[in-house]
Parts: sequence; structure tokens; C-alpha cells
Amino acid sequence: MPAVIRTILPFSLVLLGLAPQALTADKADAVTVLRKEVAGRGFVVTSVKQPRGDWDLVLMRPDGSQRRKLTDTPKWSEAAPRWSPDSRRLLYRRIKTGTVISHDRWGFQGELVLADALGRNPRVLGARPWGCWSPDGKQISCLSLKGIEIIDVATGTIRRRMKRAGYFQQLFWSPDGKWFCGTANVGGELWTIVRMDVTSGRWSVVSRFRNCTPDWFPDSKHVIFSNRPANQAKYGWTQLWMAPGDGSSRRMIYGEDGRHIYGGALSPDGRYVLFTRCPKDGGGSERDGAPGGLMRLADAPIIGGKSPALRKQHPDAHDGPVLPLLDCWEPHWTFVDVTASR
Amino acid sequence: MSRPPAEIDSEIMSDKLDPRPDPAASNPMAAESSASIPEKSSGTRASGSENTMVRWTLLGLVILATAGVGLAIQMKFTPAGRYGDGGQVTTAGSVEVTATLVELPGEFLPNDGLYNYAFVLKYKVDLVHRGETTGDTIYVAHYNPRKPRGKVADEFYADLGGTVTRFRAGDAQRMALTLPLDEHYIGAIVDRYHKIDDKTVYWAIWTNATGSGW
Repeated sequence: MPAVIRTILPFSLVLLGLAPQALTADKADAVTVLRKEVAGRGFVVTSVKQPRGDWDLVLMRPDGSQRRKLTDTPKWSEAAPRWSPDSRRLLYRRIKTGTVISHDRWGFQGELVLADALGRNPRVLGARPWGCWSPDGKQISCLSLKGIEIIDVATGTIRRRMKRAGYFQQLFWSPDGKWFCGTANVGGELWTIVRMDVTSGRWSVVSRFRNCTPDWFPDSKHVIFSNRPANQAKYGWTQLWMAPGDGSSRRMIYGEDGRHIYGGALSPDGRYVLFTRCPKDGGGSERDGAPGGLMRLADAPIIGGKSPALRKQHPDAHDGPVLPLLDCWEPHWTFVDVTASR
Repeated sequence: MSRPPAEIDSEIMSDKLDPRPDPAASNPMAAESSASIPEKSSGTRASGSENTMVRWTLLGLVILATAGVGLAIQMKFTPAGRYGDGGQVTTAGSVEVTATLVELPGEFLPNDGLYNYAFVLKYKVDLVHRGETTGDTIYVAHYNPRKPRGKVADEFYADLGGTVTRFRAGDAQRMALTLPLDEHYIGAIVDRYHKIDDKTVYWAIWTNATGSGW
């Protein structure tokens, strides 16, 4: 062995040994940076399963700090909270404790409740399936067998009724008020994300085959949704995807073999993404919630864990950073300081 | 789980405040008298004709009880009867037919209770019992088709039922149906006949097996 190699080899081996540690440290640093970046950016509200069996609403900073309960009701589960566009009020569902909350049909369960931004002074609005805020917060849209109904919040009267055009769950109104998105039956395709023009009722496909839980980006031009692509072995894993409203393209935001990704929600500026990572499909709501995560949209696509098969399909994906959050379900984010007295 | 107040009240009553008087507690003589009955009866010899009558009565009661149990078991396990007319099939929905399942258009999706869906099946109508059909061939959406009809009802669709345990091509079934589908069912639909334009799809409320035939 030449002398040069004999001299370099030990150093090289030492460097190789240190490399994984350095990478881990880099990853931890990146998560710390992300944590600091989002810590002061408003609040997140989410449902958290309690040891006694019910779900309560929990408020926290986006980094998971300053956690506190907004509801504490052993006989009821509070689910799927959403602040009004001005963040002064909160809509959520109230479901009897003991009821298994369906991960994709929760909007048909229990009753819709309107409260102030911190869950105080709750007012039960009735069944109101899939109740969702209008952009001005004066109306809510609902989806039921009767079709899509636009209901006046103040009076409870139905202002408008439309055919549901195949929508069967998870109807959400775009922030600009022009569109609905939701999960629909289209032809023989299963669980298709569809966008509908609120005025004309015309609709188009955003993403076909095995999609659900869509929601709008703040720009009203893109939709975030969960998708379990067909190009996987056996049952496969549900990933978080995004697409423009016209369905012209789509791309993965986060995926991880061994985890089903649901609860996709954007920060109000569209720069960050919240989601949950559940080892069992549906386990987010039907069991005890799932570990939450927060990432920058600019870092997408991110692949978590080893996920060798997924990495082959997305060779340009990043490893992170993903800020881990508590076990939760259906998080929602506001930049408004909802704790300040107004 | 909360219970109705009346149920809770009755339980409290039975545990603590039994309204029925206890004869032994309220009347010491009653306790003495009841305890003495066996002694009195053992000291009385019944006649042979009385014994025979008692035996025949007992035998009659046993026969009646056995027949009753047998009938109940038969009703439980063959509620549809020979013609599949049991349960709600004669009253539910607006249309009642006996029809033969033409084919299974591919496999049903997995159904582990996580994802729920309706699956469209094609039938040839054999007999219209009630209402009118759109033709000799009808399309029927069945909720969660992997489940036996007797176990398919859930919190979202509580009125479903029937005796069919699995769907097989060639089987005749008596069904209570309704229209339009989208006014009775809101959920995922697997429709492998979706390329057939303008077809009417019925919603199956009750689906019975017809046994040996209709």
C-alpha cells in the first residue's frame, strides 16, 4: 500500500464514521430552526383524544408550545375545529363520547357548533353536515342528501340550494368564495377530488382515484388532499398531495411508507403545511389521533422514514425538516392572536 | 354511555327501594306459614287419577314448549321464508322485485369497516311484486357488499337488512328498492357500468335470498 494511502485511510475512516452523526445533527438543527421560525406565528387548534375517551379542542402555538384545552367535556367529543375567516369565531362538531369518529364521514356525525374563537359560548346549530365558513363568515355551506345548502349563520335560514353533483363528503368553500372542493363520485372513478364553480355549478376533476380530505390553499387556486396512489405494493400508503384547481398537474408534498398522511392544512400565508402521520389507515380519528407534523411547503416533496420504494419514485425528494407535533386530528391554523381580548 | 332516566330510576328502585312488601319481614306469621307448606303436602297422599292428570298436563306443556322453541328457531334462521318475503322486503322502499343477479363485475373492494361504499350490480327482473321498474334489466346499488345483509346496517344507514349473506351471479333475490339513489345514499359508489348512459340505479334497502326459488 502506498504511503500516501496509508496516511489518508485512517482519516477517511474517521470522517466516514462521523458523517451520520453530522447528518443527524444537521437534521436536528434544521428542525430547531423550523421550530423557532413558526413558534410566534399565530395559533393552531386541533382535536386531541383524552385518556378518558373523549376528544377535546386544544390550542397551541404552531411549534406545539403553550398548549391549553379550549373544551373539557367528558360527555362530548369536539372535532374538526375551524376558525372563521376573521378568526373571531370557531366552528366545530360535537359528537357524543363513545361514538367512533369516522375519518372520512365525520361531517355527518353529531352536530355543528358555533363558538367564539376560544370555544366559549357554544351554540349548537343542528346537524348541518360538513358545515364550512363562507369567505365573509356570514354563511356556511353544508352537504347532505338534499344537496349543497348555503345557510345564513345569523338566522339559520337556507339562502340557496344546489345539486351536489356527485359530492359525497368533505365539501369546503374556497377563501375567495368562487369554488367548492370536495370528494365526489365521477363516473366509475373512486374518491375523486372535484372543484365546482359556486355560481354556475360547473365542475371539473382535480385528482382522480383514491383521494380524500381536500382543502383549499389560501390563494384559492390550489387544493391540498390525501391520495393513496395505485403504484404501490399491496394496500399502499396515503400521501399528502397538491394540485391546481383545474387539475392540470399534481405533486406530492409529503409521503412516508408505513404512515398514512391526512389532515393536510396550510398556514394562512400558504408557506407551511400541517398534517398527521398515522401508522394505521383511519387511525387518526377512529383511534387516538396520529402524530402531527409541520413542514415548509418550499421543502416539498419530503419523504419521511426509510421509504425505499417511495424514494425511487421521487428521487429529488428531501428528508425534511419536519417539526413533530402532538398526537392530534384535523389541525387548523390562524395568524391572529386569538388569546388577545378583542 | 348515558341511559334513559326511567331506566336508571328503575334500577335504583330495585336496588334500594323495592316497592313490593316483604311478607316475611312484615308478617312473621306468613313466614311461618310458608315454611310449613311442604310438611302439610308431604302428609297428604294424592289420588292416582290426580297424578295422571298432572303428568299429562306436564307432558303437554313440554310438547308445547318444544314446538314453540322449534318454531322460533326456524323463524330466526329462515326469516325470508321460501319466497324471500320476510323482514321489511314487502314494506320498505317503493319497488319490490325478485330478480336474478346477472354477474359480478369484478371484485368488491376490501371492506374492513374503514371505507364504505355502494357497489352497483346488474339484475334481470323475474317478478315485480310492488311498484314499477324501468325495464327487465335493472341496476341496484348495494351498501358494503362484502357484508351479510343482516349485518350491513350502521349508524349512517340503519334501515338496511335482509338475509343474503353473499352475492353470487345467478342467485335470485327478493329486494325492496327505492329511487332516486342520490336522495337516499350519499357516499362512495363503485359503478363498473358507469359507461352505460342514462341508466337508473336503484338503492337496495332490503335484500332477501329466495331459498329454493321464487
